Amino acid sequence: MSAAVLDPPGDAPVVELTGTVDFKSVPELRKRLLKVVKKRGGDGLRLDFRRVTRMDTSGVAMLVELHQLASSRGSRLALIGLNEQVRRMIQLARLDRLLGVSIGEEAGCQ
Amino acid sequence: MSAESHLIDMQGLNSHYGGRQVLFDIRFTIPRRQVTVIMGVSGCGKTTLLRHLIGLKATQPGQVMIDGEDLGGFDEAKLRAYRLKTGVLFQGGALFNSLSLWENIAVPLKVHTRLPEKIIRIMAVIKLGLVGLSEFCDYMPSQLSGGMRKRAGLARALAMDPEILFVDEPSSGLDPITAAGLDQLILDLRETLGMTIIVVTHELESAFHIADQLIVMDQGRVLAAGGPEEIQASGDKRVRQFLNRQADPRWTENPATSSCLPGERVEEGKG
Amino acid sequence: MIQWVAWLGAFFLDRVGELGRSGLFFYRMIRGLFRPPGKFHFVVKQVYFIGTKSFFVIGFTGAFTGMVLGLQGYYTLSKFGSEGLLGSAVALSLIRELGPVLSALMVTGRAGSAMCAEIGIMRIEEQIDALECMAIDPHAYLVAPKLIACLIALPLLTAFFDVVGILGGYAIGVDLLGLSSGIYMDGVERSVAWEDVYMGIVKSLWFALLIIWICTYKGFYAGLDEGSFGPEQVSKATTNAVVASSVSVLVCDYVVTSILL
Repeated sequence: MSAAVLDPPGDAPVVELTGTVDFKSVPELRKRLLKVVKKRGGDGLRLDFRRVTRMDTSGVAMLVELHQLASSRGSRLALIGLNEQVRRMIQLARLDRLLGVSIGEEAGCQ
Repeated sequence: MSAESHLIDMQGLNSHYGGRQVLFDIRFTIPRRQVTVIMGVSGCGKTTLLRHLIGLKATQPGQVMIDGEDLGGFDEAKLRAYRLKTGVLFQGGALFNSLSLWENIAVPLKVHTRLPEKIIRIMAVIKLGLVGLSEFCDYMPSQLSGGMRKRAGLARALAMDPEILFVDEPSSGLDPITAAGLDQLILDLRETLGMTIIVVTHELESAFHIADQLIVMDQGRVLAAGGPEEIQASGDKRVRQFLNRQADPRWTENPATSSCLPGERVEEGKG
Repeated sequence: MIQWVAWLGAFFLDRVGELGRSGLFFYRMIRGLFRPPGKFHFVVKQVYFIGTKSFFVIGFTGAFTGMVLGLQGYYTLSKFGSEGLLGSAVALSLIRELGPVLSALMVTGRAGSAMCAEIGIMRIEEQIDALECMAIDPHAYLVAPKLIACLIALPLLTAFFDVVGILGGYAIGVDLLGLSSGIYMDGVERSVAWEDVYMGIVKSLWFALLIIWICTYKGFYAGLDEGSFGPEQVSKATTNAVVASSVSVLVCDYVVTSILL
């Protein structure tokens, strides 16, 4: 698991995630992402999932926490490039609407 | 070759309680990412079979292969690894009475992961949401009905996102609506997460609804195995009897043939 | 006759089997001390349950034991004209013998029985099976914290028992029977040596180990002999646990005394 923070000027910061988001990687990842949201939370945050192969419930829970933190600062979390497995994980937990993930959005995400 | 398509390969499981043999040369395979239902009247040995598969009852080497490895030869580390990727729902739910619902689900997460408490709590609420109990996360098990406890038990079995789920009597003691909801959840889990699910039950309707594969057991033996249609079309007398819910003729038989009388006991220490 | 022999054989096989199982349980309990999960939280909870909640009972028993020792001791000693030794007699018998033994018996009755029933219920409700299926060692999760807690709580309870008992003896000897307060306290101070206190502590540590071992073992295997699990098995296991651990406390008391003397 790795996470690269890109901060294009004038736009919301993007975090590129790579690998698996599971209970082994979440504790570290969460700390980094919380830091980004706390620093730049007002501008929103984009999470790039294109290189994420798998995510488990701890990842979903982390997204929920990030979402709560971001919306308490009046901004939004945007998830980009979710693969099938990640999307299903979010849908099974019925958090797709909360996290702004919709079915059949694949084309729009690429 | 079976290692790829089959998760569990029973190669002739025998089981004893004390001197009494309860399972006789059980042979069948459990495919991956499908729902396998083990059916039979109470006392046919299906719960014993389940206890073997989840490692609560010792298995003789060479009788059960899991993922190509011998369950009977598992050392402690292997058994631990196997258990980390399995979830088990027990008949009564087996919730810890001194902990609230979400704390129950947190138990395996707290022991096996380094996740912070906040994430664990969100995860627990998500899992409780799967079984429709998210608003009860702070209740104690004693404040819930039996059916709710069982659903919470399922949420706990799913806590670690298992690859394999074992379910003991999912719908016994539940009202029809809750039972149907549970069946649907089992299908969802197979569909969306590709879980391998093994269900032990005697409820015909639910069994035929959820099963990709059915195993019918009787008196410690496998009577029939196959897809729902195959079982439905089976000509075996005992299978038909079970499917048609006919009374067991053995109840009215001459007591002289009863297995309680001496002469049929298996010698102790065998195997 | 043959049946008799068979019965005797079965009985002894049973005992030997039980011995082996409890030995194995002991090993797993000790091993559980060094295995995850972390125990701090559980130990604190158990110290509260075993220790804090037994405070009142221990104080009560201690006070009355000290008082009756004062009464009986005064009566006996006055026959030899040596009432002055009352302080020593009360303090020594409490610290070396009665404090550890009676505290252990009270803890067995109050906490040991509850622990046995708790674990027994977990057994019959498949909660212990559930723990194992979660890859959590039930010995490490359930039993080991209780052992640590009892090893902490019982010596402290014993010390509390001793102090209250000595004060109880004081109340009877000095306030009721008119012994001089200086003579009583002087007797306590002069006669009690480090060895006596040491013996009391060693005893209470052994008793703690015994109580937890026996009570949790009986609960852990509640109903195993019958092969059926139900409420009756738990109540039976609890009764057995209290009887067995009380008897072994008394036996252990003799053994430790004879070794340390």
